[in-house]
Amino acid sequence: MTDLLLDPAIRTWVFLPIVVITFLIGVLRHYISLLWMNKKKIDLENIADGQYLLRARLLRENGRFLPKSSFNSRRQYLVAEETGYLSKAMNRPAKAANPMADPTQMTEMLKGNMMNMIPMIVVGGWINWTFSGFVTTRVPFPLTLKFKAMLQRGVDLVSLDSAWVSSASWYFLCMFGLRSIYTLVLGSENAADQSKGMEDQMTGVATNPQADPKAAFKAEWEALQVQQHQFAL
Amino acid sequence: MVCENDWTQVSFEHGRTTLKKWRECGVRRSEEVVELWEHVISRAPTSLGDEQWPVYEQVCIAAFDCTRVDLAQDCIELLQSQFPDSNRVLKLKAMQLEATEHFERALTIYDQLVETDPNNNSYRKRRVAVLLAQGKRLEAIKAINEYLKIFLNDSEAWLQLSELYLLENDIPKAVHCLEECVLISPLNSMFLRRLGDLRYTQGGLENVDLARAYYERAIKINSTDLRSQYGLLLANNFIANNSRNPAEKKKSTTAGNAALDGLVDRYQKVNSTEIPNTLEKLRLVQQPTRN
Repeated sequence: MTDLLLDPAIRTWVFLPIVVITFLIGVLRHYISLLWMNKKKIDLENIADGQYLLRARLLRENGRFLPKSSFNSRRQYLVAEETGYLSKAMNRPAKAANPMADPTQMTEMLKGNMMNMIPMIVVGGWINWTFSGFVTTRVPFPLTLKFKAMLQRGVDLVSLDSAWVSSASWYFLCMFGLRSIYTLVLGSENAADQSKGMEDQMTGVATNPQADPKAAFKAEWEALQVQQHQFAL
Repeated sequence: MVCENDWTQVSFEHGRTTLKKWRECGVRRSEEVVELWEHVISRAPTSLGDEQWPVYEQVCIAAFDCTRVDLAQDCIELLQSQFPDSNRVLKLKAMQLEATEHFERALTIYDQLVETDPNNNSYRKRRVAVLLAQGKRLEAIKAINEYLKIFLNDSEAWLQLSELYLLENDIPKAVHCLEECVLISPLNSMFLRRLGDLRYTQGGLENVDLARAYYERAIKINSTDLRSQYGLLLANNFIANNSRNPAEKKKSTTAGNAALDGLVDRYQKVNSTEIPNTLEKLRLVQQPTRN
């Protein structure tokens, strides 16, 4: 099979524009999100809650370095029936469990989603429409047939070697591969990268400390209750 | 640790990275920072780009430390023109007031800052520092207690509080504070050693026993900790002299002698020409156990 020869115009008018456009859009996203996002407000109670949870964990882990009486008084301070911080926090009425009840949170989520989705749909669609159907480049190593679906989106040629990359796939590769360049240009805490946003969306719910403090308090409370003190020194 | 570097001769790039390193680790090498600034960085501060602002802040704080009021004033003015409504600049101004001993005015600024940004713990800590500088120890204790109700995993604050309680001769409370420190970082031999010191000072067989445990732990973590070694010796001596249990007595005598041997070893290793009598003095400590 003879080697495929690409028109140099494809390089100038498809390959490089896609890279530049993806990069510039990332930069634009970064600055727009800087404009939009107001700083997350965390109230003092949440901080204290986090600190107390951390403290309960530390007490469980490192309590063995304290004499028994000290350990017990600290545990009492946290889990005593009426006055313990954890017991009180556990029985605190749940506030704003429903995101609908807190419109500020809703707008925040909406902003986040819009920042992720709209450029993705609009730009992705536009790139697909403008640059579709080109074979832009090839990866410098042979690949199996399975990669055709990934690398040759928009070019359905059975006989084409799967090392060739189509324009639409090249756009996706750029989108996900530019992270380190953004870090270089915009600093490490940038909002330009879409893949990061997606990760946040997927894992964000689980790591959000405010998600359900009551459950966390309950878990800590139980763990502390059953903790046996053993002086380690 | 302190390398005798001549900071006036280093290259710009080297100075810049050094400042950055110190800023990120929070080292307090104020005189060197000021020196670096005046001899190296101030040649071309604008070439730092956005990095110049944190550098100004760093230099400003270092300048307070060296009572270089003029330099601090310059930094604050530059920062003020760049960030007119910044709380961080306001904090620097309050620190300037502190440095020039206008404590009351500094306090009002800190109060105001705490109100606008209650989540930032540095303002509260500065407040305590002002109170300490004024010598209002009891008020400082109260302020730290307030602070620790929210930020209760701050070992720095606990340590400070324990020192304050010690100055008030309230050893049980100081012990409590240090125990918090140990909870937060159980691998810090300094906390363990101090806790041992306090327990030993409290006296009584039980407390000294605890002290011995803490000293042992401290030595385990940091085997060069001479003070813990010495504490271990004293605690063992005390137990050997006061315990009713003959087995315990014997055990602690041998442990005490082992600690003493460790001490002697160490002094011989560092070649005690500066303190020639140390070995004899150590022998004196040994006496009561051997009788």
